[in-house]
Amino acid sequence: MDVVQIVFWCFAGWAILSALLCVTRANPISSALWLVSTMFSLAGIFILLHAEFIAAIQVLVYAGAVMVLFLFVIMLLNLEETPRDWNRWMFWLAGAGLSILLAAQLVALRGYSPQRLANEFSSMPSPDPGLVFPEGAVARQAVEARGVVGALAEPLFQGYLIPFEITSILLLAAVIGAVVLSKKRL
Amino acid sequence: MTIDPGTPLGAVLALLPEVILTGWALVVLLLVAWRHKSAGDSRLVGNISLIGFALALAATGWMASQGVAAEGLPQMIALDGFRFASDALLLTIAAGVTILSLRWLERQGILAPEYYVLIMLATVGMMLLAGAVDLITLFLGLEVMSISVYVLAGYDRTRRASAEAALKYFLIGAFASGFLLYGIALIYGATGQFNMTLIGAQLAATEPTLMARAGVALMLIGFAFKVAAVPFHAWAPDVYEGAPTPVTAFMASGVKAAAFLALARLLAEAFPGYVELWRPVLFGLAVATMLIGNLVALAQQSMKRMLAYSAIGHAGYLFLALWAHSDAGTAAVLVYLLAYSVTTVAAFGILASIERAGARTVLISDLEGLYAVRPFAALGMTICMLSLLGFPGTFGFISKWYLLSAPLGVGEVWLPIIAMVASGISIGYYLPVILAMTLKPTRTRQAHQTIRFPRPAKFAVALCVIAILVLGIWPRPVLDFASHEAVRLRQVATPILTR
Repeated sequence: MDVVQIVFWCFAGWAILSALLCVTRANPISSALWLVSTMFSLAGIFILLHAEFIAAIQVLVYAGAVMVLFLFVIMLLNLEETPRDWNRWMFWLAGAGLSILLAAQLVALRGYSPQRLANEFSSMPSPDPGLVFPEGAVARQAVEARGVVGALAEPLFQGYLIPFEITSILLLAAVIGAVVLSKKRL
Repeated sequence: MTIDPGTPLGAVLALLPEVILTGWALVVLLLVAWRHKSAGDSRLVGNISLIGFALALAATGWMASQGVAAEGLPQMIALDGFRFASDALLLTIAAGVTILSLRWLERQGILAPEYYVLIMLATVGMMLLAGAVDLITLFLGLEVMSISVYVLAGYDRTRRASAEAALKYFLIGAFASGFLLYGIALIYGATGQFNMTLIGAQLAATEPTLMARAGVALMLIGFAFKVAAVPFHAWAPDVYEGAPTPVTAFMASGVKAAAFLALARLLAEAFPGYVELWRPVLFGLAVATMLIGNLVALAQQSMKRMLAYSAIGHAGYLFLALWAHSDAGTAAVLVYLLAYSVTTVAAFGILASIERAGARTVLISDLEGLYAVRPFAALGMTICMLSLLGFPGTFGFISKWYLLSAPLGVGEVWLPIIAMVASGISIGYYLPVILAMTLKPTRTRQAHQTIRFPRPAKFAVALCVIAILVLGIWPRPVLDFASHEAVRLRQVATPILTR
């Protein structure tokens, strides 16, 4: 086990722990703060995958801007602390069922080592180098070719320009909808 | 004419109808910013938005007449007859719904002209959804459509039912989007592609993997929610009943049509190699949706709820065409959607004219004696019901016959038989509407005096009804066109698959 792996497990454990704390806190503000903590740990994992720019954006946008917005909304709504009813066996049953399902999925995917994935993809009709991804190799290649920002910008503004533009229409529709539904007198 | 969608000009040309409609929506939005007070403003904005639909329709027609095609494999958006036909269908539905809304909104006291902007943006989303050849474009198109329609469902802000409809639709829609997105992620994980044709090639060339199977299954569940197929239909009646009536028409025709067109393309181009996996699923969905949709419709008193369950039943018939997985099936999807949408828009148009502001929803018994007072409205409604039923002489009959011949063409007998049984059941709720209008006397002297049929809506409904009758007798051009274009859909996918 090399250093990278140890660091990965630290960040992964941190991410899972804070995600768990995020969904179990009764106070929405502490939930939101634990979500910030999850975002930070995910940023660490992005750095391990040689995606430094995404890591920085993750901290700036998600842990920074979006979470501040969340906190504002929570504080404006002035939510009461509601005691949670943990005795509802239905919730426990549904949660347990979902956990078992996800665990089964994990076990099913256990056999997929990076090497096996690489072998499977190289036997496919058009072996795209982007499909073989042992530990951030794709990102490393892209970064070497185009720089940290270019690796993200080139697909975003060239290959996926049309979806990128559609996203702006989506946001426009959402903004109009929010204003129309929430404003009493237009 | 071949264009390269990789260049800026090529991308604009490939998306010309969508670009025009989005641009027009922005212009209308600017206009709304200072003209949003009176009923006249609302009407003005509605009329101007109609010009946008006409321009986009003209652009679609121009692209189809020029035979615009992509250099090499189409990226993000398809450039074939199937897409142009779907765009034309969706734009026509949206224009029809806009015409129905023109005076209706003012009468109901809904004075917020952003309504028309949202209809236009929803239409852009539908066109992107139906024309997408890339799973990212498909998902974004679906979301643009859905977000706009969530808001439209809750547009009547003074009524609790409308707010309830919007919230229910939003929660279920978000849930369905989750399924679809998870499916897309698994498909990408299994193939490394977002382009439908490339996905089809990858899946056909490799052994079926668990990941790809799960992806196909999750995407099917997502679509089943969107088209309200049993057992994913529970939201539909409440949402259809609570939403403003023109919006209900939009949801029952446009949203359903866009989802089915996208599903037809997805199954034909991306998942032909997994036909053994999805055929039984579609079989089950079709049988459950046809039978349960039509049976529950029998028990409905409210017209809107009845039409909602009837819409569920029609989604079941449409699965037959997809099940066939043949060119005839793809053509049948186009023809059936045209017949169903035209009829739905007309039926809801008549229903909207009968509604009064603030009153409860129209019951079937409220239609009693309509023929004596408003013969033309009653006649239009009768023709719509007969067309939905599939009565000979209407376009509904031709399209249903065309639809049933698709599975028969690949040697399946049971699905058409079950569809016939379901159609037989549907007589039980379409016929009472006709009987109530024609045979029963009016309940009170004042009955039906409040019906206000604004001229634009009258015009649109009359046009739809005439189309149902004319195409019911002379359907050749539509059928020829549909079968011609459906073949091309598969032609894109085959060269790569057989390589």
